Amino acid sequence: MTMAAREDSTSIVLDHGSGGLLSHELVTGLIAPELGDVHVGRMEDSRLLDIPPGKIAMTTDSFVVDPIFFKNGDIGKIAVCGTVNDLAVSGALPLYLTLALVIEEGFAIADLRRILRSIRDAAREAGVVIVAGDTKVVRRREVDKIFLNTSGVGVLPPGAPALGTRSIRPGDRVIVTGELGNHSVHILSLREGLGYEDRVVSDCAPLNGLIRHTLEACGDHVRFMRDITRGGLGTLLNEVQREVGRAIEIEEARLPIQHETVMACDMLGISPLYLANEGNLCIVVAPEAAEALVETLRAHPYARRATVIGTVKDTVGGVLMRTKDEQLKVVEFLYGTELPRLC
Amino acid sequence: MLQRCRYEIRGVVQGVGFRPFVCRAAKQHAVVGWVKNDTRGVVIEIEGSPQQVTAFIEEVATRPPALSRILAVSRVSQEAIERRSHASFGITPSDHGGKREVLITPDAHVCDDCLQELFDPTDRRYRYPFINCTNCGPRFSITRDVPYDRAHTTMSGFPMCSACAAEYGDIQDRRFHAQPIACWACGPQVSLLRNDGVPLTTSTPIERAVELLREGAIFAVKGIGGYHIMVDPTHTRALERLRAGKHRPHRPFALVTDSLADAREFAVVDDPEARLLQSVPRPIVVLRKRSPEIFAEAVAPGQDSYGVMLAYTPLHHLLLRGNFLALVATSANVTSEPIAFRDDEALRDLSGIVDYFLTHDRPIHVRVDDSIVQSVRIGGESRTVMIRRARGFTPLPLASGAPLIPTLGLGAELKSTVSVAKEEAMFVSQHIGDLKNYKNYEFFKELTEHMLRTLEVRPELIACDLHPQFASTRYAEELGHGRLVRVQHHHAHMAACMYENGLQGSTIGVTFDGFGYGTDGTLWGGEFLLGDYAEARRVAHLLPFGLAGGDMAAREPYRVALALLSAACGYDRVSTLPLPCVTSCGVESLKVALTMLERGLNAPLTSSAGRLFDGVAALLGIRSHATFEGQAAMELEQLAATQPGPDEPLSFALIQRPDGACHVDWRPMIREMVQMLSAAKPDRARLARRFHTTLAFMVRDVCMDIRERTGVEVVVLTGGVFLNRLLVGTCHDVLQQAGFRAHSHREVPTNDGGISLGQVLVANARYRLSTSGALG
Repeated sequence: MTMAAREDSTSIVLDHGSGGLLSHELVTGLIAPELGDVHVGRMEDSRLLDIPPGKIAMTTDSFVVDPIFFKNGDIGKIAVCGTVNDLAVSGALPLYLTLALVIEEGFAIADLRRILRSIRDAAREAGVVIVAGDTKVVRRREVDKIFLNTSGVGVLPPGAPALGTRSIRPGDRVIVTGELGNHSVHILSLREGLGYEDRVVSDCAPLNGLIRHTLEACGDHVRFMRDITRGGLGTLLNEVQREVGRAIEIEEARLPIQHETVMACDMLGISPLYLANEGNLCIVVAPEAAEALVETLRAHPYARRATVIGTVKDTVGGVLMRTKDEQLKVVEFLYGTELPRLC
Repeated sequence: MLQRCRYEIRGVVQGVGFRPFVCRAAKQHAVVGWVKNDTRGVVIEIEGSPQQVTAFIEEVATRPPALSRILAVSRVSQEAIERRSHASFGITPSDHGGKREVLITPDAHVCDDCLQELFDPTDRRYRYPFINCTNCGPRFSITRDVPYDRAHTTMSGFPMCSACAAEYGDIQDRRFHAQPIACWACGPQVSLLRNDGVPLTTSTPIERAVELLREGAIFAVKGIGGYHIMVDPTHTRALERLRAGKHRPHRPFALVTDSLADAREFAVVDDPEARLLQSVPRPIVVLRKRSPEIFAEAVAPGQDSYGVMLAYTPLHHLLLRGNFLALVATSANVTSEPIAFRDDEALRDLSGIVDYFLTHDRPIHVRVDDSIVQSVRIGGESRTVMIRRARGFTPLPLASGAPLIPTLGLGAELKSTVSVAKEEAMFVSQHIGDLKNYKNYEFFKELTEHMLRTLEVRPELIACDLHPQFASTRYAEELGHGRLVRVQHHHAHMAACMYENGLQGSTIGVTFDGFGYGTDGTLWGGEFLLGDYAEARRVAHLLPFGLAGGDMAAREPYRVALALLSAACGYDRVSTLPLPCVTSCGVESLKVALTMLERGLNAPLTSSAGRLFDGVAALLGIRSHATFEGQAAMELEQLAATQPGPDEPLSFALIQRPDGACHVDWRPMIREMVQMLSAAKPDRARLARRFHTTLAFMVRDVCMDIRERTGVEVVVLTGGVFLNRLLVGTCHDVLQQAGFRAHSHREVPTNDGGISLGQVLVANARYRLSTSGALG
């Protein structure tokens, strides 16, 4: 088996993850060169890092998206963007990532190369470096093609406002920066062959640049930020509402949604409120700064459709949506997941 | 020899002229003493000879005023006395302390005596829009608390003038102790506002409103339990504007008319229906349109019937009489929100829809919509069936026949009601509406609290639906007191129907509706349950099919048609079938829907009979997209009703499953339909009729199968699908012919309006079972 596998140099074999020579070859011959300058690991058990003054922010995330390649991204890009975005929304400056790969035996090396390049490009854009890594290979069906994990370290400079739900006040405005649901619809359509995948593409992007841009423009007025991922805006707002204890009212007519996404959602019978993005922010901002912030956001390529979509009320209550036909509906906390494996 | 006796009378005995009636009876039978209201009802003390006392109480118990309802007359004391201690008989002030057990009266339509005065130019209340007496007028909707006295109603802000006070105090007067008594001098007044809230300067607001209505203006008119939106039903443009404003393209609007004779001008009314129209609650009655149709098509587009009610407030009569044959009178809501009843709220919410407000300054305390009933022929006799139980019926209790644990039933979600059990009575709330709507949900919470407060019930059992995501379920979980009992949706339907028909013991529950959460977590809706109040088992059901897009399939019946076709003919064949539901579907939609069904992508399986009706309606080319719940199924029924006789059933099969459950396989029926629809000139109406007959035969055959195994021959037909008159009639007929005793609903709605009552019954039965088990 090993002999046969060795001869097949186009795909991953179990020994690529055994810790032996083949593992070494994989790291030094493929992973490190492909990652290029974003990879500063040195084959040590751990890496010592220089940290500028401030508080350290840390996060981790695993990525299992199916399919692994899609329009405007792949599992590698998501793995970088997801972790970078999680750091950035807390107000921190993302600095370092780790990268762990769990690869299914037989996975094409060409595909791995493609994923690594995309990790490199995303890390370059986000301005982060990969400081440690790990590669495991498992038998067929023990994972589906490839799973990734990234952990991230960032720093919150001294004096920078720590963003969080605690600073949210009644009257604050709720902004979203991009079109809702595109990532979910794109992935679902690709996976099930529904035919929307060419018109609705993933919005996967690192948002730390946009967030820095936002904070520089009106950092004093921004209360809270989070990237809209699994569970969508509906789940995010419900989480916020539970912590804040005030009603949040949004307007359906103001939600930025691509026309084709609306069509796809109608057909599928799903609500864009619960669909995932991979490059979309929800920002809560003081009312006096909302319009100016929207203007600023729209100047950034990742936030051209930034819109004020709602308000934090001074009444107790849940998340409510004023629908296009003027009804007030409860936006419920989703009971379970609607759709599987989107990131 | 003389006696002194004290009696307590319980039931609906306040606000109905009960004390004046008692005074008259006392005078007639020459007894002395007093009568008073207390929180339990009415208390009477009388002194007289034993014969006089007996004759008096006999009169009181058997010939009470029209609006009253006596639940119990009990003698609490009796003693022999030497001489009378009272000089005469009179009314003494009410007691306010203690336990509250008095029942509040439903609102009643304006009575004939008041109506006569209303149009009598010599009467001091000539054309006064708030004329009422002890026999009529608002009650439940204006009552804040019990006992029912003016101070506890929203009339408390209107001190009586001397003329009214004299009538109020005169035992001979029809208005003796009529709490909402009022006149031009002292009572509420009508005003006419523009939709921005600015009053129009006019001394005759009602007459001005009539002129504006004639010109096609849309009005919000404040009534008893909320606002109506009114327009002239002959004014097509006004109707179209209203439909656009309410986002309600097709759902029929109700009509209000001045008299039965007027109703007969535009609708066909048989005798039972005439009695319904004229009954005290003045419900909306579903009546066949008379042809040719004299009103605009937009009143009830695509329907063969109108919802019609007779005028029930003086204001309705003033607007209608001599002016309009009828007016559209639809709940003043913005699609599925509660009818507006607070004036500021109405102004804010309706100003975008209406042109004017005809309002008044008597506040509404409890919102209550119009009730809706229809008359159904079952086994050759007419029967009243409740579609929406609200104004005129609530808050009258239903007797349980046995003591109940204090219980709160929180209902389902879409047509929600709340029920409270107290001692031997069950109080079902008025229709609340769809709880997904936030305002309805707020009303649901308010009403629950109002009922528990006015009935003074602290529930020990909290019954809710099994569905984990219903707002009512979440509310039940958050209440935090009482024992939570989760009741499967269709079991609750079945229990409500068993109760209404006085059934006990093992029963077959044929439960056909849109959907309910099953004990296995799947979506049920075409169920045959076997059991009683405490427990029920699913013994058979319709063969499940996919709902492509979940709830979306209810709005777009063509999706269901595709599911039925895929199951009956195979996924690959569907796109080649020459049927309108396939060919009118865009290539992309067709592909996506079939993919969803084949791969189970947001296409949960359901055994729903309601959806089966929708799907067949789409299959027959009747309707592929619905704009209101049940539209496709209603149109299918209408088409079927044009055909004589039950005709022959189509093919179907019963499949016995290894687990003992039986699947009703409708695929042969679909294949037969496809074949007939592919013919040159398919007879769709006949096919629609035969579909109804097939369903009835499915019901019969499954019941026979169950009877063979268990010997049970009592059947209840329940669930929203049985609003279908043709289906319920045919099912009764075939079941009776097969030797079953079949029952369906009357006063309790067969749709989800009956769920809260069923929950109360099931929770109590389970509780009894568990406690008797513990004792035994």
